[in-house]
Amino acid sequence: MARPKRKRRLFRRRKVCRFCADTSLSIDYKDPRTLRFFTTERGKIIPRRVSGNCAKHQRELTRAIKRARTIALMPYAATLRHY
Amino acid sequence: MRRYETVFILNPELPEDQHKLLFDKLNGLVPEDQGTLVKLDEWGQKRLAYEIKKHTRGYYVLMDFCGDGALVHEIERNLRLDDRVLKYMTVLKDNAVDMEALEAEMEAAKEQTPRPEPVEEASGEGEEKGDSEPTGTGEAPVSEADPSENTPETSNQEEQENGTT
Repeated sequence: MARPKRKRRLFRRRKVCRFCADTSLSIDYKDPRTLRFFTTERGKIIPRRVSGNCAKHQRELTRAIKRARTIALMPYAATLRHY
Repeated sequence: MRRYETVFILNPELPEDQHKLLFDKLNGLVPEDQGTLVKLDEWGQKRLAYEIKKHTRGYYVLMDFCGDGALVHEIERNLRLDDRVLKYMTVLKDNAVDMEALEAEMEAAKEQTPRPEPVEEASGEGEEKGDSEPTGTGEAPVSEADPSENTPETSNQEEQENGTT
């Protein structure tokens, strides 16, 4: 007998890779404005399970962010705001 | 031949006339190793994400060229020795360069330069950049529009952020 479908407690929106959905978006280390979306305020790279990126694009993104860090376009570690 | 891209950061206090000297020196290195300079793009002063040698600002320059490992080695050696350069990074863009496509691209870039059409160029930017490099034709005007479009806004954003930290 088939078990009745259990109701999920949390309804999660299915995440889609932004770069797959919109091919006009490009990943480039020279463009920190786009890359900033995928880092926390602290400057950490947001994981795939949170951002919903596909493996391929996450890989490219990580590489781009690391390059941008090397050339001081993005921070390795940013300080949090103090109120 | 491979295609490389070198970004380097100059000391922001360096006077403008010194820039020219340095660029001439670097450009002179390229043909010595049978390389081709595609373009030298000055991004201008930008805020650095972190301090380099006690500087919070830097003058960014992008150098796009074709050549082999020896050329990269030579350019990096010169940048390393020069204390006007705060930091540099070389990235491999393409493993094999199609010379014909490259020439067409450089031609296109030349034609595009005098025409001031920032809006139209910017709209095509997203599609052309990134993976479509080897096609060549579309890439040149695109990357040209890129810094002019990016620089002011990015620095604004960074300045805002700085204000609130």
